[in-house]
Amino acid sequence: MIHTVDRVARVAFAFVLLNYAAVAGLFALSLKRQLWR
Amino acid sequence: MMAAIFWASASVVLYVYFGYPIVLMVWSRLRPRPVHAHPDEPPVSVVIAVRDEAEALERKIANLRSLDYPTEHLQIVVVSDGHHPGTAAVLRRNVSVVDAIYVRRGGKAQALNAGVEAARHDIIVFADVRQRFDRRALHGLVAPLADPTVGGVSGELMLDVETGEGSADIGEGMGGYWRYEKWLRRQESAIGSTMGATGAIYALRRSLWVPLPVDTILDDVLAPMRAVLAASRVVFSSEALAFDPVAPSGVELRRKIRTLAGNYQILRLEPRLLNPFRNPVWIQYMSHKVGRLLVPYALMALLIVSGLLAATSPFYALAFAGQVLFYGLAAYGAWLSRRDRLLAEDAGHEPAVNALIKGTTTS
Repeated sequence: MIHTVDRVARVAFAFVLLNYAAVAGLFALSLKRQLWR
Repeated sequence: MMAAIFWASASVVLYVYFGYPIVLMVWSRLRPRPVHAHPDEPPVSVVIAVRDEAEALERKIANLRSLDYPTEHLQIVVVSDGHHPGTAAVLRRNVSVVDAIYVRRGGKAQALNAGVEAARHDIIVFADVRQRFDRRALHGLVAPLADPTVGGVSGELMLDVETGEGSADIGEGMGGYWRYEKWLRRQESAIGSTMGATGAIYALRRSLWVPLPVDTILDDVLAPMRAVLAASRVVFSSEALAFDPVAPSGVELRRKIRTLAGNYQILRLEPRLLNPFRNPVWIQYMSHKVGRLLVPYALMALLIVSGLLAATSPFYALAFAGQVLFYGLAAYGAWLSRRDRLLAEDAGHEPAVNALIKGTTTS
C-alpha cells in the first residue's frame, strides 16, 4: 500500500513538474533568458 | 460563468491527455498511412553540434564508428560551437574520421547550420553528443526514407528507466510520461507525421533543410515541422534507437522549461503551424503541442474555480478535494525525490549533473 502511494506520488510530482514547466517556459522566453546553448 | 470556466478547463485537460489519444487510436485504425520502408545503406552525413564536451564527444565518435553501417557511406561532421581546448583535442585525434568545423560561439542552431553546409550527402542525421546509438540505428533511420513521401524520420530515445537501469529520483514519473509521449508519436506517425522529432536522433532530407534562425531553441521540432509544412511526412521509427539516462528532477525541469519555451517560440518562428489551411497536421499540432501549452493554465483555473464553487455544490467540493489530494501527493512525491537524491549523493552515485543538463531528452 505504501509502495503504491509512493509510486502514485512520484508520478503526480512528475506530472506537475512537466506541466508547470510550460508556465516557466513562457516566463523564461519573455525574459529572453539564454535557453539555447 | 464560474461553472463555464470549470467545464472549459476540465475539457482542455481531459481532451489533451485522454481525448486526443482516443482520437488518434481510432484515426490510426480507420485511416492508416503505411510507410513503404526499404532496407538500404545510402550515404549519410551525421551532424553533431558540441560545446565543451570532450569526453562525451570521444565516446560518441567511437559509438558512430562502431555502428553496423558501411563507414564509406558515413560522414561525421562535428561542429565546435566556440573554442574549447578539450573538444579541439578530441577532434584533432579523430581528424581522419571526422570533419571538424569550428565556429564562433553562437548557439546550437548556428552550429547546426554550419554542419549542414559541410555535409556532403543527401540524408542528414542529427544527433546530440550524449546519447549512444544502437548498432542498427542508422538503418532504422534511413529505411523509411525509401518512401518518397517521407522527408524526415525521428528515432526513438530509450530512457534508462525503460530498460530497467535508471536510478534518477524522478525516473518512475519520467519513464511513464516518455512511454506515453512515444505512443502518441507512433500513432501520429501512423496517420501522417509526428509533431517534431527526437533531438538525439533524427534524419532529414537535405532538400528539406532550411537554415535555422540563430536563436532557435528546438531545432528538432522546427526543422521537421518545416518539412511537414512542405508537404512531406516525418515519421517515427522504433528501429532507430538511442539511449539516454534520466537526469535528476532539477535537471529534467530545466530541460522541460527549455522545451516548452521552445514550443512557444516556434509559434512565433512558424505561425503557419496555427493555420489549418497551411498546416496539413493542424489538428494533431493543436491537440498535442498547443494543447500542452494550455494545460497548466487550465489546471490552475480548475483549482481556483472549483475552490470558489466548493460551497455551492457537493460536486465542486469533491472536485476541489480531489485536486488538493493530487497536489498533496505531488508534494509528497517531490519530497521523495529530494530524499532519493540526497541518499544517492551520500552514496556517491550523483550523476554528472552539469553534463546531463546539456542536450535534449524529451522535446
